[in-house]
Amino acid sequence: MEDNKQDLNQLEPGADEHGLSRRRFVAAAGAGLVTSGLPLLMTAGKAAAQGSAGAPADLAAARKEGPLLLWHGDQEGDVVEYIKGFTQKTGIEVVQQRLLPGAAWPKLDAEYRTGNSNVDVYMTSDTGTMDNHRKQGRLLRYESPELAAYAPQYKSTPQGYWTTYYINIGPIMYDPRYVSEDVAPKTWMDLLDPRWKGQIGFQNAAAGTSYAMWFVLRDILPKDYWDRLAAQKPRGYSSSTQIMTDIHRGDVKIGGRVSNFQYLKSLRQKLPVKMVFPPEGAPSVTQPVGIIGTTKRPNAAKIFIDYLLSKDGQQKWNTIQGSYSARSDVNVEGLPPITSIKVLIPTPEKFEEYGSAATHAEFVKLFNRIVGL
Amino acid sequence: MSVAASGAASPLAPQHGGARRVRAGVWLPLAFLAAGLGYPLLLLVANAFNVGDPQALPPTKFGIANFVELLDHLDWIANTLLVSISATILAMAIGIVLAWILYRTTVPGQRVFEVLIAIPYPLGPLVGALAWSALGSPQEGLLNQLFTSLTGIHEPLFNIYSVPGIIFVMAIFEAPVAVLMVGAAMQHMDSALEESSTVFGAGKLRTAFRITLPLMLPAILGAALFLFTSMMGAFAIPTMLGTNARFYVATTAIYVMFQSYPPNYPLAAAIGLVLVVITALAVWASARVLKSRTHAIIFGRNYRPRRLNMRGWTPALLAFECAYVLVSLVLPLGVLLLASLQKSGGLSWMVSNWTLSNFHYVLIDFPTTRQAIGNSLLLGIGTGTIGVAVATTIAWMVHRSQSSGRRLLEQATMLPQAFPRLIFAFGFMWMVMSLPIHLYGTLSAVLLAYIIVFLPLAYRGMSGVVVQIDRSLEEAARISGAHWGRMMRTVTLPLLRAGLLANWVLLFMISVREVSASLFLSGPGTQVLGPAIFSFWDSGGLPRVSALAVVQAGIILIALVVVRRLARAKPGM
Repeated sequence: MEDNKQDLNQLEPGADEHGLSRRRFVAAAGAGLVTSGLPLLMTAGKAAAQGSAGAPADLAAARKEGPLLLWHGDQEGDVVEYIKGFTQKTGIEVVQQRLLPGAAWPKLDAEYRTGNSNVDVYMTSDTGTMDNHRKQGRLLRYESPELAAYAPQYKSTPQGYWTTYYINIGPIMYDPRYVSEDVAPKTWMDLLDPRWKGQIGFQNAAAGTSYAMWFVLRDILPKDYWDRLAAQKPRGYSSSTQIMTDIHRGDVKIGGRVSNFQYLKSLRQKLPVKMVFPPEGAPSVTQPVGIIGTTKRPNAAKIFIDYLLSKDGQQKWNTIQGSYSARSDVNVEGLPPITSIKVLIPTPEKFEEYGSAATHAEFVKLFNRIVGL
Repeated sequence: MSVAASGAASPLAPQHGGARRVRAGVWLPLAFLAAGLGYPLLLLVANAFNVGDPQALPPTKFGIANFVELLDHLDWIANTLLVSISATILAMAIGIVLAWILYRTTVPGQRVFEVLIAIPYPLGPLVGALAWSALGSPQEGLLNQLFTSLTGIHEPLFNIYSVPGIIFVMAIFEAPVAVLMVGAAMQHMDSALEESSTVFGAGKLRTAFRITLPLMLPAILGAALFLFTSMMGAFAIPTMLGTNARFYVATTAIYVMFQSYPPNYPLAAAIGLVLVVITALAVWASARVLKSRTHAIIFGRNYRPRRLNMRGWTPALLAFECAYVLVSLVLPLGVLLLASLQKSGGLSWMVSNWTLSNFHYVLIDFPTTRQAIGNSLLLGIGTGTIGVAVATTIAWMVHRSQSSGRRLLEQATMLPQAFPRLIFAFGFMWMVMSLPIHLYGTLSAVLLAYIIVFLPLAYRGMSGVVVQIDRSLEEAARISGAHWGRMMRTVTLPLLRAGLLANWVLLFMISVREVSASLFLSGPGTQVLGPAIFSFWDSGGLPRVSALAVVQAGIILIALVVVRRLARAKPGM
């Protein structure tokens, strides 16, 4: 306990060593713990792994590595269903956890600092941050044979760090039972119609898709668009499922930007739904998947990537989930052809800005204000 | 067990010689609390003053910029206070009336209502918010649809996605605590005081205000404080019902800040700290109010207070009880059950449209929920067992030992009550990450957090039990020649048994339904029910989330029934 006493004295110069008062007791114990814990926090920051062009995956080794830990920002039910098929096919078990970018990156950061990292593969909605992590050397480079089927805008440069596992297009959506087609908004500017005041739902600032929407539209729409949008008092939902629930209940009229997979999900539940792809363009996200550098199950992770990016894997995932594949040889029934849509995605030359924490912070502040937080 | 050790060391009569030293039963729990509560608080404070890199842990640059930024968001604090205070007042009003009907009137059905009224609390806020959004959403809410079909009016009767809606749901699901706490005082009140007031000519109203109310005041204040501090940290109800109304309280704002990238930890910590200060002030203020009064009359012996025959009012009072059970238990469970049987998002009454596949999905097909159910059961048992053991030790030391530091121990034990659970979990998570031992991402970390956050409730419960054990029975056993072990086995433990069981099941139930603390602490391999339900609500659709909520309610109800059976069974002597 000698150390504690010393530390206590450093923290509280006048501390008396006799007797037991609550304040002193708590302070002493706290100081002791701080000094035992903090050095670890400060020194463990160098745990990041070196990215290297990986060797091909070994299935026998992969099966012995134990369950793969997958983080993702998708709907848990979809991921679980996909994983089930993957495990049946490969014999590799996968444990999944849903973590939005704001929860995932700091968690990874803290885990790196404390040397506790356990995640193997991350699938996210935020390509900018993913690319930042590539720059920081936190992703493992693995050049899957499937990469040849992906156009350059759908993978990292150099390739192999992250690749697009689906394209998430964000149209405006509504339920024709509550909104007739002739009054429904056709353009982004139509969302400013007083008719929709208090009746528009967006995902909140935590969603990578909301960030991308702002990022690609801010140069296209007038500068005062966002202030005028804020005056419409839109609601900030935590997920696109929440928006759709309210749209189908008639509690909110317009989904301001809803991930396109919700369209097929509603149709599968026999609920009427309409998509609007505004002429200015549909803000979209190329959702990237990559292997985390500190992976403890590299073979399993590589096999996971191989299959997810393969034609068969893409067909399965996008059919379950209801989105567009970045592969031109994969088509999901029920969706309008992607070539008929003006897709707006952050371009690679803007990745630096797209991935920066400062741009993110600017957006979070603005968007929180828009949804009334 | 340390209960035994302390009991053995301190004879029944107050001990004098050498009693001033601090016993292990006192300093061990004190050290546990200092570490488990003090360190997270320290990290919270450090972060609230962090003006450097928002993700730096520990911070390197300090200042008050976060508190200045907080000035832009005073609405979060104001909203938190608005719902906490309003819901506390409403819950207290409901709770006091219900307790009075149950324990001070001859309105029939006391035994049945006593049980029914208690259940909404362990069912918890997730069930409440989910169920009431299905009942009271403006367009498709069942009650609004019923209203439209009965009256032909197309305007909804009410909108649960509103501030009054949030207050109402929070109040009805917390009111049972007020019934329990105020009811206990009413049962133990000496009605001779009321009688003598009447004898001296005071009217019923004057007696109620001059005698009954002051006697009840400590219990009322205690319950109000408990409700207020819980509601300051309420998360599930404001999130699930407030988003649609663009209404945010501190916890929901913190949660969004955590989910967004880059997360604004320092601002979140600053809000958290303000909340802790407010609840701590409330605790301090109520302690001061109580200090100036003597409330010895309530403790000690059991009185059987006279019950009033309310004559013509009896049906109205009975109707009030039924109405409460309807809105807090029957309708919520009913609508969730209905929703859990649906094939898609709407609510259909056609039995041919019903399916059990949602239950199959959450119980068997979906690994996260399967694991969450198992983990929550384990945690419930762990929290119940360890929590009761620790609380009993502390209650024993505080009320039965002469050890110095026992008052400090009592205060420290009640401290976690001043931490909104979500805020505590946030500091606790940092602590666990920074510890050199491997605790992060384990079920033990969640267990430890549960024990700390529920300790005040467990201690309060066990104190009530320990205080009421008449020492003379134990003394009689010792005088009749029973050694200590025999006395414990044949006298003390049987006397404690019902109280131990009741507190165990309370801890079990509130652990199983916990959500705010678990949100930050559960992860892969440590999934628990609360966050699993929350995540299903987020992106799983109404039928599946309802099925999972029904499973949670089922676990809670089964535990309640089993323990009541056990408690009623004859103790083996």
